[in-house]
Amino acid sequence: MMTTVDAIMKRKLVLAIGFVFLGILMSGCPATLVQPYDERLVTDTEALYKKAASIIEDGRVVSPRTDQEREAISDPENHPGYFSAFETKYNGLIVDTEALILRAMASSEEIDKVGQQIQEQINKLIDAGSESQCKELADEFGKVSLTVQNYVDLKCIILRWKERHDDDSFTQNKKILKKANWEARKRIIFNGILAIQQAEAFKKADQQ
Amino acid sequence: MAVINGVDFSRTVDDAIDAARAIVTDNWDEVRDILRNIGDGLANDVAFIAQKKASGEFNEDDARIFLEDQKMLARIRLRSIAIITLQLAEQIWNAVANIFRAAIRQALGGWIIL
Repeated sequence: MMTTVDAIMKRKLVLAIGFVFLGILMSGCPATLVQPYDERLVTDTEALYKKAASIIEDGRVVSPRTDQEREAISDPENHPGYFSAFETKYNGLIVDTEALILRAMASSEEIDKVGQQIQEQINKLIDAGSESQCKELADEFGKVSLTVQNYVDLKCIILRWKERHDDDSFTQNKKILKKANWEARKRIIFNGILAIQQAEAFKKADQQ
Repeated sequence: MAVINGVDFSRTVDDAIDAARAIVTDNWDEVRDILRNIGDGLANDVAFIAQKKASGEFNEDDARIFLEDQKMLARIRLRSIAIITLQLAEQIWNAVANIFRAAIRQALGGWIIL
């Protein structure tokens, strides 16, 4: 037999469920919490990976293995691993990431108000946990979707790569990286693009 | 719970909950694989630093810079997990709304108010 307490609890539960569904009903239309899958964005991101991986391999092949080998390079400016040999390539990658940011921004308008607020909070949480290495760049774009912010961070990573290659302190006054620096970059770009593409692939699986 | 125009809303609630549960169940393997992939990636990166240190290819500065990049990578990974999670929330939300949309239409004799 149902006790009075059970009956009250059941009523409360039914009311709680009712309020949840009422909220859904009152929203009136399907929720759009993330921006839709964009095939072009996925293929352009893959193209960026191929280009970056190719530049990284070019750098790895010509670069010294250890600090001692780098120290022994007497004419660094004429070495194939010198910064100037890669400056244009870095600039090309930076332009490519900007194009990806633009592309991602175009479809981010489709996220509804609730989705925008949730994404903004998630971005704040991530910033609080680990601040961007490119504060000005992050401030320039301000409140953008999670997808757009991922491309902003990708641009930041490449900007930092360019700065470090040109950094006398980091390269021991040679402006030449070591093979292991290039290998580390390969790991970063591979895993970064993989994470971005996994999120997009998940959206695609939902649409099929 | 009310039965309106032959539509039992107790059943509708059950159907809606089943629809939501099915989405999580269907995608759990994929979510789990992504999380495992991220965990494995982090473990491999630590092994990479140790290996490069042992071979003399990485000095302390190289390791520090690599970890700076890793922090940016962590931001991207976290966002990607959030996108997947929000996508799941969106699917659940819409699946539940679809069940109610059909039930309300039938209960109100074809009116489309949702």
